[in-house]
Amino acid sequence: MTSATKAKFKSLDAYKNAQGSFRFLPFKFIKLDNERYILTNIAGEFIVLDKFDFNKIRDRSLEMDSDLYHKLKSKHFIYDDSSTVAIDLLALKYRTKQSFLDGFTGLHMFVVTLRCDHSCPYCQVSRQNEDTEKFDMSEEDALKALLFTFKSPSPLIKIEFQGGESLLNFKLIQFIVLKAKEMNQSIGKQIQFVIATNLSPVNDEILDFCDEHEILISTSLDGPEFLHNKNRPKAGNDSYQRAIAGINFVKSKLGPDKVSALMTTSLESLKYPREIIDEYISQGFNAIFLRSLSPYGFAIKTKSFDMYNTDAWLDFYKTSLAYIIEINKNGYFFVEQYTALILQKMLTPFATGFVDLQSPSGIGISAIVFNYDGDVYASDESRMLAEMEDKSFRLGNLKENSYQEIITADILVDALQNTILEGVPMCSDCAFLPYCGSDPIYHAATQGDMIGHKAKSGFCKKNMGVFKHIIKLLEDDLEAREVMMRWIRV
Amino acid sequence: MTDYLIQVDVSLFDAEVVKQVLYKFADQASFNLKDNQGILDIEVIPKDPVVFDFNQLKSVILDEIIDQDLRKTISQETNDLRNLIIAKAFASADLQ
Repeated sequence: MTSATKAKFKSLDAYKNAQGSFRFLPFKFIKLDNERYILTNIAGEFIVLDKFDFNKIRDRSLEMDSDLYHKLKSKHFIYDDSSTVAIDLLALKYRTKQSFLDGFTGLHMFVVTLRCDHSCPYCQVSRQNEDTEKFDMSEEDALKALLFTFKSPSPLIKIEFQGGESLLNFKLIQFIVLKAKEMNQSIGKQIQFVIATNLSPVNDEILDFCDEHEILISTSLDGPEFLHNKNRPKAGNDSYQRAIAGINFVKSKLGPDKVSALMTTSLESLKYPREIIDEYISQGFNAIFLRSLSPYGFAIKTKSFDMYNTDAWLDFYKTSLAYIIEINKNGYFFVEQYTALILQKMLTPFATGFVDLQSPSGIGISAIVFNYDGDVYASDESRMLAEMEDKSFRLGNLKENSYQEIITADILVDALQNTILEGVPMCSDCAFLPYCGSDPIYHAATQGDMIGHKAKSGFCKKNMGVFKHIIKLLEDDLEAREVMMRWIRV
Repeated sequence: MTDYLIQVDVSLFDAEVVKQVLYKFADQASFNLKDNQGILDIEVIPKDPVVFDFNQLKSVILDEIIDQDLRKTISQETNDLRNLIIAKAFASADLQ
């Protein structure tokens, strides 16, 4: 062998042995169960190890020619002198994961009226008589809200009309859509409009306008007739019939992809996971979002901690997910959207833009709410609190405050500072940090403190349960893994 | 002093590590810590004595102290790297 060859190639021994010569990259870990650990790196890539292998990390007895060594190295949990690109690669992946911060506020919710034709017991927003127009947003405030909206640096602006029942003030929706388009002619942002409605007041005039301006419809469907009508009492007890008729009407006029449905999980809903999913399938939907119970009413009244229903909801979630996976295995493509969002966080380098699982919290910086009276809130949940006399998260008023004053309001800046998970007790060393987020409104409502004690937090318990369940399915159930992999959109 | 006592040798485990672990179990018990000549005495006061299982909680806490100690080691060893990765991620320099 020539000396030149020696200079090019190290001997095989150079790649073997050398126990302990590797170095850790930043990673966190947590027990998956009694036998296994989950390790996550700074970019959210994860690996599951049994105790035997984990202890090799603990006591640094990894052998450099072992599969485990190469696995940990390739997934950026360790590095050695033979690889110097890990840090640059991790930086790039981390940057991509944090890209949701780039655009700033994208979702702008306009509460065009508090009037509603329903009297749902779980509704957090004070319902008002349909004919009480003092609870409608004025054109003056709507214009100010639009000026505010277009000050956002985000290239993609989503304007969502909320209520009450938003269609009871359809004239203002028309006004806002037309004005937004007019104002955007010189600005050139990408705008999307969504009307959140129970579809009860929908008619040809409304849908013609939606068709002309490519407005999407987001409605509510809580499950089969008995459950939907129980959740959503209305004079005539016909909420379900109107919702289904409305969904079919929208599909026929605008197309099936222009309407989506959201469910609210009431305590009653927890008994009927299969029935709810079957209802969504029978209405032709290909997705459901299993939302957890909203704690606000309960928590506000009692000021108690919020663990009261987390176990029941987790059981509901697991049962529902198992059923949905079976449906997919039988050939019907149907997505559980909360799981799909988390899978995207776990298995892709991309950010999701999902406000509820962001660090810092997405309030204000990802979504903002203009209430009917011109008040500006950091999130939909913030205005729900406000309707219960807690205006802690009111950022200002369109008539009184500038964009700068509202977006730099002390309460918002404090909330953002306090919801960076790297600085939150328990979250800072939690392996699920790359997947999780912070909900200051939830914790303020349930614990009287926007950070909250995570050992007592239903938000933490719920998401820890969901993360572990998804990882167990990915690791232990090959068929479930194949189904869930098809849910990831990139 | 209650009947429920956990002892940790602080020459082996940092008191900060122990406190971080105890914080995680604040939903199950309150903890009163006393320095006992190099041994940390942890008096455990259950939140709900009816369902409280001391031996089970003690076992979990002791396991978690070992894990938390490793977390501290990894965090200390990788802190500079973490800062470097984040700085590179948000630097204007082209990483590609």
